[in-house]
Amino acid sequence: MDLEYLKMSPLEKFAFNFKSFFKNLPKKTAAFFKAIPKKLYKLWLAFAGIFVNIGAAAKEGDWKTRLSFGVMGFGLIARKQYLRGIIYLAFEILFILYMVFFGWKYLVKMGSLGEVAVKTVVDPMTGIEKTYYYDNSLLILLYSLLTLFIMTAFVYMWYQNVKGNLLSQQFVEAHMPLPTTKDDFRSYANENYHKSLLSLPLLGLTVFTILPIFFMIFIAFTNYDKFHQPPAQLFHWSGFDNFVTVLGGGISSDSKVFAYTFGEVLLWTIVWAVFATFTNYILGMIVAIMINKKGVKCKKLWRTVLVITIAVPQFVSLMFMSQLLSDQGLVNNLLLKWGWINKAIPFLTDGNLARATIIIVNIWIGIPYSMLICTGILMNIPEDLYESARIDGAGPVRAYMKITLPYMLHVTTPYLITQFIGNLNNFNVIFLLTGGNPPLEMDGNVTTAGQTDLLITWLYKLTVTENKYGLASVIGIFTFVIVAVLSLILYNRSKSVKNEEEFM
Amino acid sequence: MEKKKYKSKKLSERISLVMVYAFLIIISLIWLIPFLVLIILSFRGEQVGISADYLFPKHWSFGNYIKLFTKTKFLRWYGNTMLVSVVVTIIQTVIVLMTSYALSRLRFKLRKPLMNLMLILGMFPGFLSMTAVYFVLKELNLTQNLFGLILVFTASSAMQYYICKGFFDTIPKSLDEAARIDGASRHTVFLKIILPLAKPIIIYTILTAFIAPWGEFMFSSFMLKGDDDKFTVAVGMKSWLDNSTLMAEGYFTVFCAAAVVVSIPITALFIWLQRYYVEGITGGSVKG
Amino acid sequence: MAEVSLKHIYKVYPNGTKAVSDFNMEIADKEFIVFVGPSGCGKSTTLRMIAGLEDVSAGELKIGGLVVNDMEPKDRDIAMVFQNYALYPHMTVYENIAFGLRLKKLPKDEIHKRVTEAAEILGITEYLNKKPKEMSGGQRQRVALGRAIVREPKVMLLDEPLSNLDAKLRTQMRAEISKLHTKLQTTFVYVTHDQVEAMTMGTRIVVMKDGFVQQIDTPKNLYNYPENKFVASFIGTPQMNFFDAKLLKTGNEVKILFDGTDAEISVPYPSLYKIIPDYLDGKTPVVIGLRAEDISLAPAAKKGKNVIKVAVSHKEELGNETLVYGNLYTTDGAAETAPVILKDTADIAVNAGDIAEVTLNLGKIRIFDKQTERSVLPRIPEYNYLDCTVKGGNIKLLGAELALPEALSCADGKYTLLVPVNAVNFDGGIKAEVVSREDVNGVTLLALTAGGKRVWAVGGDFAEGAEVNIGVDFKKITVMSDGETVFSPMPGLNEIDCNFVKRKFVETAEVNGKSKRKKVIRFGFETDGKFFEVPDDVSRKIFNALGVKKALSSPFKLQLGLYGLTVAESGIVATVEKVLNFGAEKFLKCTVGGREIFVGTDADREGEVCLAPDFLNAGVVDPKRDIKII
Repeated sequence: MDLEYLKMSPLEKFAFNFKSFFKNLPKKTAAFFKAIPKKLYKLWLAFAGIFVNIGAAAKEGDWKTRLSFGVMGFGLIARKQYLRGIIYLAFEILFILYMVFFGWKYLVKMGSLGEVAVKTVVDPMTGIEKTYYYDNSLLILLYSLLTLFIMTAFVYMWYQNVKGNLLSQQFVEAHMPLPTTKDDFRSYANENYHKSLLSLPLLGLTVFTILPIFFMIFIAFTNYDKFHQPPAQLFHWSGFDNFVTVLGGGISSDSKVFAYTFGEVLLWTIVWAVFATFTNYILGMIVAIMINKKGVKCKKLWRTVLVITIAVPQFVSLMFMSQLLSDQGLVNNLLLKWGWINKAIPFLTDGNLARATIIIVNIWIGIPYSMLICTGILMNIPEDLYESARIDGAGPVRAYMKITLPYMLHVTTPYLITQFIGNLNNFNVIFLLTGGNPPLEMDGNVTTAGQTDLLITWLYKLTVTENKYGLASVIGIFTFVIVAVLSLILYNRSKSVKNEEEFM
Repeated sequence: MEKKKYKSKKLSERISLVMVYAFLIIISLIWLIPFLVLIILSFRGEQVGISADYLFPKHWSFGNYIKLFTKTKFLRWYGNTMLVSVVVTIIQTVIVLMTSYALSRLRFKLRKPLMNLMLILGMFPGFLSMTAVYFVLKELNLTQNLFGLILVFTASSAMQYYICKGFFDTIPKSLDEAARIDGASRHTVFLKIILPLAKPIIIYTILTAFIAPWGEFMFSSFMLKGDDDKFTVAVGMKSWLDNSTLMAEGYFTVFCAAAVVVSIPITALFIWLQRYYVEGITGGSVKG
Repeated sequence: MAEVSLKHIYKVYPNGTKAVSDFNMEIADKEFIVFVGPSGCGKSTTLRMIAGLEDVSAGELKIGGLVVNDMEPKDRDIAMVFQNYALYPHMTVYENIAFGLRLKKLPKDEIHKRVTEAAEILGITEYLNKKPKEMSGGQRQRVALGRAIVREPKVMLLDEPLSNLDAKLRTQMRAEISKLHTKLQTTFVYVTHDQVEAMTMGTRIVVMKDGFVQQIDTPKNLYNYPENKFVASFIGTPQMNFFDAKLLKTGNEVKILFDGTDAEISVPYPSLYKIIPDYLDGKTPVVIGLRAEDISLAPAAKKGKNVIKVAVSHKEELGNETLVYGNLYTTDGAAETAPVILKDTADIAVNAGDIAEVTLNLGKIRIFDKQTERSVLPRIPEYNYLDCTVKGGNIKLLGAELALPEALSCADGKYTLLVPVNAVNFDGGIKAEVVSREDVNGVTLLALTAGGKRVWAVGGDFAEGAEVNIGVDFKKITVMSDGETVFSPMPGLNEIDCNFVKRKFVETAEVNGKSKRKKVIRFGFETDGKFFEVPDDVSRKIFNALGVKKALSSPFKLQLGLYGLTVAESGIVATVEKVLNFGAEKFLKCTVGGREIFVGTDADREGEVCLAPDFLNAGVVDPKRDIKII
């Protein structure tokens, strides 16, 4: 940064940064695309490396190593690395059993997702109708995916097995000591401790998060909806139909409505997330500053008053608020009785008012959290910063703008980003306050969403009440892409995330 | 002259202090009044729907509380939620601590990619995967089952490593090194050095994990749909509000009583452990 | 015993930066070694490698004779004290000190005994029940020391242990650590960026910069004989003064011409005997180094002669002495001139703004090359620069006439010989007299005169004034004529490019009287497509350094000394180019894989020869990372 830059006023600085961002954009984009072939080449090298390694094992391996191609872990057992060898062997046996007795029959049906769903047969002896369920598209998709996952894991294990066997052979040939089973055990508390710690959490993550995500991505390419519900009916692959519908390219008028709804909901989701995040943050900080002001007594009491609202479960406060603020709720009734108004205020039933109400209620719920965080950090700001500012003649507002705010922003960027992402997917506040109401309309057509619906609550409605699973998945994928892009941009802009640590 | 200026400075300070107090009092009222209303309503003796136009009950009574524990399944729901909460808390805390330690202290090849993966997974709308999870659990006969709910809540705990890892990062690495020279394995370092120092973040994790099942609605309602013996308090109480017949019978005040009962233990826990909560979250979510 | 040996130690980070390059050192038992240097010089990294907290990228690290490269820190029998103390905050002082012993599962009584003993030594008995945060910095540092000494380590490692303390406490703790060293009788390795700490505590000091060792020496020698400008400037306060200058030899005097001034100072040539003559031409830029105490204000009697002028900017009166700060006064009016700091007695009459004349203590002068910054006045000179005449196959040198070996044959005429000091031996036919002897780090340097010339030699043990006969080892000398090299000696190191490979052989072995065919696997180097086996310990070292898989696909550079190869029945196949005859010895100049190598021989040979490498003294270099593995 040169002196010219330092001389500028904040506005000029902003303009300068803004300009240079766009000036550098083509260069950066070009650099990004230029990096792609290099990355691809690297990937290719890594990929080719796998075959090179396998080839090396086939060529240089002795009979023990070569036998391990078929009987996993054989070479290791033969070289007295029992633990590793037995793990490989057990994995192979389990895999074969799984494939033979379970995986295979689902995998073969993945292409069609089943042919016969139900057969009703009249028992010739008794004359009673009996229903037999055959193919369940949902389970076929789910289990074939699971099988693919397990197959991938197997291929990886097999490759590791080949590499490991060759390596142990090379160790023996080089007269180097091979790690014994005891060493292996010990290493799981030391250099391999991460494996001991992470295997269970990652297993849970794979089965309950990654697998379902893949499943839903696949669902987006099917016609799974109310009329194609297993086990009574089958559903089938439908290509990009759902995507076309959501983007408004479909033939039916439904598609137009859907695209409109998507646009509206998306817009509100982003507006909501920005407002919810920053109102909470700024106001929470102001409250924290007030409480921490020198001379204010009973700091702990004030804080506790606010903290109580965190402790009361959110769903309680939200449901209670929704009751208080409803058209026949206590607030309206009281105001009517006192004659302050002569018609109930539609806090939650008028589109724009409902949106405002939601943001205000969210402030009420969220401020204590941000207050707590800000309190902690405010106490960390070195007092001498303020003293020097005071000596330089800065008043409280200037001190806030020049010291507190920049410091807080610098330190809490990661928190802000997680808050922002959390708000994009904030189900509870919307669902429990308004349930997404009032309904959103387009030229008199009722849409599937409400005016206060976020993408996530709309998704809930689409699946739970409308059963439009395929379309919901498409929305889900879009939501994911939007959230991911937004937050990745934010993450990359914040330096504190980048410098996770200096690792020397 | 000098003296006067000094005095005026003091005066202005006093004025600003008064303003701050006024602000704080107003804020406190805004925050407390809804809860006071909640408590007052829970003592309303007469049965009126939500359309009542007065605040203070005509008859103060414990009727709502008695009804809550005798006539409804609330006690059962409460027990369900407590069970889920405790088990989830234990499992989740262990998983989060293990993951955070590994990501903060150990160096392995896939560390960065793994962190990025979890970051990205966290952006996927969790609800979407619900259907798949539901069918997996159904196949395992775990739907409409509290154990299934526990599994759903805890399976992806690893993704909550962020704040805890941030806290671990602030513990000087030289402590690990000193312990390793003293003869400790990584495992011993984790148990004997890091964990005792991580008290605030452990309490923070426990608190958040414990509270989550009480307030979680989306997954619970999906998983437990149809069997009101298995409801958690959130699902059960929402079912009252959605049922207009019950609301007409004056269940709103019962709802208020239930809300008070749910809030008390958590509030107490929170006020008691507030200090650690603050230390944990500021230590962990913040990078200097 | 606890000697520490570092051989060709490297630390290379995955991104390719070298934090430590080719660190070589033998630390004897009970030594107090200090690593010193500016931040980022690799001193801490080296210490952490000794501790086992960082992997050694290459090289061999031994503690007490054991190779510890792959050993866990706890098994290395070391203890370490950290800069920030690294006390476990949740444990009491007692628990902190006992932690390591408890992990070792020592009996309780033993632990208690050792902890109380250590606490007594360090005077922290009364704090044993306190937590670290209730204690002051100095007390915490004692606890950290206590935690280290209860382990009864072979080597104590201290990583800037005093830098978090205030100045007074630091001085006090410095003395205590020194005392502790005497008491414990173990090896200490101490890292600091503070040269005062280094000078006051170390028995030997390692000065580092940018990952390279600059000099390893005793504090006194570092101060008096810095090997380069960096060491000179780093050691000693106030910093050494540096002046750009040129040297000109006229007669028996050397004139120092200070750049930008008309100041000329003459030094008698004998005091600069060791200097490389190339620097005395009045053109080659050098840097003159002088410490503040070797510059003083000129007494009235000496004014005008052999002085330089200094524009005084300010002075610091310290009571017993005065530091005068200023800049070299130049006649060409250059804006920035060399800063000068000089130390003089308390009562001097000089004030800011004065132009003072100062005299230099020329006995303590250091001279550095301006480019390389290396000392051109080394303690042991590299070469003797001798004039000679060659006539008819004989050489006239130092007043004697010798037969010129065949290998050196050159036309009649005058030449300059560069004779390395170690090429001067004591069984020749040149008469010489020992003028003086000097002990330089265990090496005896003899100053001789022969034929009226000064000759430096090492390796002889003669008293001053003794008459000796010296000779010259012709294979080590360089012959120059008018600045051109006529003959250069064989390089000391033969380098061969090769690949490390695995080969399978079928051998027949006698088993129970029957001959059995057996497949065996041998590892070796391959060069020019020819294979030669290496001993097991060499291959193991290579495997250790690069990993089994990587080693087998990597190229290496085999380094062998001049006598590291011998003509044999089998081994490396080389083509003979030429025979070099030095009279007493004969060498073959051969090529292997496009590189020239030299091999000692007893007979003339032609064509292809097989050479057996002496792996005991061989070096192996990984050329990709430029790291010496063995």
